[in-house]
Amino acid sequence: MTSLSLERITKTFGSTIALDDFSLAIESGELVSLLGPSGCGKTTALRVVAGFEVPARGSVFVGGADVSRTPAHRRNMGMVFQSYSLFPNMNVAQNIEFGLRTRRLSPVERKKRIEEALELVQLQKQAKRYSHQLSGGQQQRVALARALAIRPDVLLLDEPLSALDAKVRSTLRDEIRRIQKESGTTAVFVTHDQDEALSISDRVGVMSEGRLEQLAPPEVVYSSPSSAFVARFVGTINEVDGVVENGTIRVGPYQFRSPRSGRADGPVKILVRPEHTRFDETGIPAMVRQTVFMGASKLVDVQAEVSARVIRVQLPGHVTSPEPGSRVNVSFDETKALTDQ
Amino acid sequence: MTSMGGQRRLGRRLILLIGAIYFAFPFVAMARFAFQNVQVFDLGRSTLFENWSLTSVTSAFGEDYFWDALRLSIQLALGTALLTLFVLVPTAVWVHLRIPRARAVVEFLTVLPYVIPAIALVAGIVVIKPHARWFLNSDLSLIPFYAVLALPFTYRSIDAGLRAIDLRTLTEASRSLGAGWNVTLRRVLIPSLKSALISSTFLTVAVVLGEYTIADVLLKRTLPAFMAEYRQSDPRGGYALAVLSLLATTLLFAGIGVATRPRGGRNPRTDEPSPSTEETPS
Ligand SMILES: Nc1ncnc2c1ncn2[C@@H]1O[C@H](COP(=O)(O)OP(=O)(O)OP(=O)(O)O)[C@@H](O)[C@H]1O
Ligand SMILES: [Mg+2]
Repeated sequence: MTSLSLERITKTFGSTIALDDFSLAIESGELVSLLGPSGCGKTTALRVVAGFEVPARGSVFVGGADVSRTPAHRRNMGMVFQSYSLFPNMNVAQNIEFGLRTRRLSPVERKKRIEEALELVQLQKQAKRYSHQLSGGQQQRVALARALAIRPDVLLLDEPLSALDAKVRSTLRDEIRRIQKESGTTAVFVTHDQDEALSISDRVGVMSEGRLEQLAPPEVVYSSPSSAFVARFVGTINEVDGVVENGTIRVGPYQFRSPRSGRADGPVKILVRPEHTRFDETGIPAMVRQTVFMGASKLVDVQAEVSARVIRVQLPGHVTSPEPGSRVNVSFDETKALTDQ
Repeated sequence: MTSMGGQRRLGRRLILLIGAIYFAFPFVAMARFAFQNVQVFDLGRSTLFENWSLTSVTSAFGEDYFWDALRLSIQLALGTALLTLFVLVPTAVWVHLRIPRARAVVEFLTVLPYVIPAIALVAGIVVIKPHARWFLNSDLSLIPFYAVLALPFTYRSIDAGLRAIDLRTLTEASRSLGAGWNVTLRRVLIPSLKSALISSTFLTVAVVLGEYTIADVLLKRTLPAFMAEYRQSDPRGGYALAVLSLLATTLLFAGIGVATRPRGGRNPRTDEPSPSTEETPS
């Protein structure tokens, strides 16, 4: 029904380039999270979609229609903010009704939608409360109900959970996902928390310096990061120093060809996840420092002989791990390893 | 810890008490002078409860001029308060949202009417008077002057109110829900600024009821002008009116304060068994 796409958006604040030729296409009913370090332009991207920031260049399309010139209050976007945004002079029901009144819905229709929205976030009993009488989690749920009651084309969430404590955060996160799926609303979820992004999204967009580094399903972003930046930002990763010689990557005696690296000869950093490493005769000679049993898996930290770096190896939980102090050789899943200068 | 807190509380009460006495004494003295039929040099502790009466104001109430002056001053107070609401509030909101860096400059500009003596404003009025008779002839022409005179106080209270709310988020929430600027201002911002606007109105009324210089220059018969004049012929009646106007404004605003208390009770979150359990609906 309503897809969302941003095409070649550039937005600057003075000399800061918040969005740099930024493009993003989201399908109808999909939840895409924007993940990235502080200041990479996530909020700005959301605000451009909402109509609160006017980009210097580029267009925003909703359901195929260009809304770039539509003022914020005519865009039909539901927005949930990081800070508490309930109107303090209205109770929960009136907050939800606000957007229905501006749409001039009949009292009957308004009442019906308020009840639906309250039920969606399970706050029927709190309908008459004011924001100062609600907990942080409840306030964000009302904000969500208020945004959804208007049946928005796109739901925009800017770190809606960051002000909440860990337990409330994870329950509300799941609730947001459930509600978003049930209502089939297209949604953009901004966060700088990778667990949040990986667990809630259909696709994750990793941003860096105003650009989209990678847009892919969570598993793909995790297991096949498109760049060193994404690899470092999402999940834990080993960094090992090596050199490229005639297209072959070498770390001490260990050498391999990486299908994902076309680097010129010279020093290189190899990026590889703990689960993409293994013990193997041909690998890098190393000494086991410690082993941590994690239940389903085992983490073995080894010190490579050729470099000062510690390499973390992840083994299945049932495999017997080498004793601390013993000598091992570590090699990588060559199809998964990335390189960086 | 508790004894320190207790001491601090005691200290605070003491300061409050001293403050109350400081303000109450002259007020009581004025009230006694105005409402007690006792010779001034006999006003002492022994005569505290003797011969109180309202006769001193009844003659003032008998004057038509008094009622005209009262009506004009009420109109001026209302007009000034409305002008402030319709011009100053949107301006302050705009400054906060669009040019937050200019807040200090605007703040400085709004103090000027306080720093510049009223007589300078009067001199200005005298200069434009011959050219603006059509405007200055109207009694309500005082409204813009009073709005400017009240500016140092009204702007400060509205500014404090704007700083106390999350203006940007509330505005954007409202806009994203389909409200234009007008609706946002009327239905979200002004209600959220209620207490700031009440105190700003209070200060406006105080300025209007206390201003004499400009009214005198423009020959407007406002309540302060009437009282100043009346005091010449009947000192006790003049002071009686002053006491009454002070009491009336205080009561009025105490009433508004009570009427606009935050709804939904003081701290209802605590009267619920355990709000934290609601966070994890099964
Ligand atoms: N109103 C503004 N004026 C000036 N610079 C701004 C403004 N808004 C954002 N910026 C700048 O634009 C860049 C992107 O900001 P943005 O708020 O989009 O980052 P973000 O990814 O949301 O970061 P965070 O995770 O900290 O919220 C930053 O360098 C920021 O300083
Ligand atoms: Mg942000």
